[in-house]
Amino acid sequence: MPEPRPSPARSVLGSLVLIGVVIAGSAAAFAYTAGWLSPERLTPWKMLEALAPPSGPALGYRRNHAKGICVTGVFESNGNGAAISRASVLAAGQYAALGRFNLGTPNPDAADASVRVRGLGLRIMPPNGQEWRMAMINAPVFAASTPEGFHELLVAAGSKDPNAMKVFAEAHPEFAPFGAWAKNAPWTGSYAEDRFNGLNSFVFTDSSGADHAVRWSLLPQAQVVPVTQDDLKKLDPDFLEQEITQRVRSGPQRWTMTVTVANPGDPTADPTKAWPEDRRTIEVGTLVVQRIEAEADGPCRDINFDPTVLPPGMRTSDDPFPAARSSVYAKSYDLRTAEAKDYPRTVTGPKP
Amino acid sequence: MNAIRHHFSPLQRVLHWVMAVCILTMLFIGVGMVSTIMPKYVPLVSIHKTLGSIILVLALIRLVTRFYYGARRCRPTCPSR
Ligand code: HEM
Ligand code: HEM
Repeated sequence: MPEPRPSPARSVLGSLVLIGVVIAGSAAAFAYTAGWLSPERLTPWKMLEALAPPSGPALGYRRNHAKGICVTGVFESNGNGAAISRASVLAAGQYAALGRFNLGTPNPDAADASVRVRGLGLRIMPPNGQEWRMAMINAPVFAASTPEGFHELLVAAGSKDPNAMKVFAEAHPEFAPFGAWAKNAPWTGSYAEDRFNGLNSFVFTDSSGADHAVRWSLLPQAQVVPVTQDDLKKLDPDFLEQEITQRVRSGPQRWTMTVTVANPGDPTADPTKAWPEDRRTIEVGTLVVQRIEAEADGPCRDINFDPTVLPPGMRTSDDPFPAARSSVYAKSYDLRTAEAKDYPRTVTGPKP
Repeated sequence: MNAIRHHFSPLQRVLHWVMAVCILTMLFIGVGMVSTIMPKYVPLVSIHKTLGSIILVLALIRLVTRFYYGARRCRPTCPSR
């Protein structure tokens, strides 16, 4: 008996349904991946929106830490770091360094005395190209334990509701140590007197293959003279840039880099939690700053101090911040480099 | 010796489907990575760069195979004749 063949109409319909299901399924999977079905997903773009002042971002500038000045010099590695990481940048030697002193504000025209958080973006470049990038701040701990928490903080800080920050601080007790530092810690009159802390944890791998969870800091070798914010308010709005330019002209400035190794069980995923003072701390080298240049034409302008750019021997840990920062810094970098015409290279007159 | 071929060479067909899979994967990785701040962002970008570069190399190999083997000859029923 011959097999009854399906009617041509039914098989066409069947094929069309199958094609439709495959297309709709792929489209749905694509929309899901792109986040179109999850409007609550925190994206790099939402982070930038939360960072922007009410008047909108300053075009051509970094979306945060917008005011800064370029530094160049060398990193003198003493070789002690080789005990915990096989990264070539921690083997004894002198490596070129490029950095950027900056203020933690989205406003490139902010008065220096008005900004509590100061930062240093740094890139250390051994000749084999295995470079180490980082961006550190003067606070001893971060203000939020997760990137989502930082987004909430930015929204609260930008809110018109006068109670928003109070509500945030009550809901987020982990903000307290940063809040206390911001309120009570003395200020300094110079970038050269500031300590810069990496805050996020990373994993170093030594030559035997053993892993070590670490955080790092740059400690100023200059004499620290504590001052109050009111003292600084009497100075020029750009006193930090003028002062560091003067100081470096009269001689190189130095910071000691220390790497602190966590004990098992220390919180590595939460930058609001300092590790106990007694943790093993290794001096790995000295940053020597030899030259200061304005940002507009300087070598730090078009650099993204992305904290996930790490040499072999270093990698990210379970700390969620470096990845989040990398995604947001890349977006900020894309935007500002595309807006170069809004931030002319050779500054002839006052800033726009 | 040039017999009329009605098929692409096996190498061309393998290249075609491998690239199809790679490119579709890239579309997903691309939109996924630009819309997230999660820890997976870092490995996604790194896969994106590696796979993107591989696709470029495959495309170059594909050009070479095209010049070497040519295209298939269409049958009379071939729609794009
Ligand atoms: C999820 C949390 C964070 C977000 C969304 C964020 C956002 C940003 C953005 C948009 C920039 C400008 C990047 C560019 O255009 O190149 C920036 C720069 C910077 N950030 Fe963050 N940040 C975060 C966490 C941190 C942490 C934890 C630190 C300190 C340990 C830090 C220190 C800095 C410094 C020093 C700079 C200036 C780097 C430079 O000179 O280019 N940030 N941040
Ligand atoms: C077949 C499709 C694609 C190919 C072959 C491809 C290829 C590449 C390659 C080779 C790079 C590395 C460039 C470099 O490091 O200089 C790159 C970077 C990038 N791609 Fe794609 N791409 C594709 C699809 C997409 C899609 C669909 C998106 C997003 C919607 C996307 C977004 C990006 C972004 C944002 C970067 C820069 C990543 C970074 O360095 O931060 N790509 N792509």
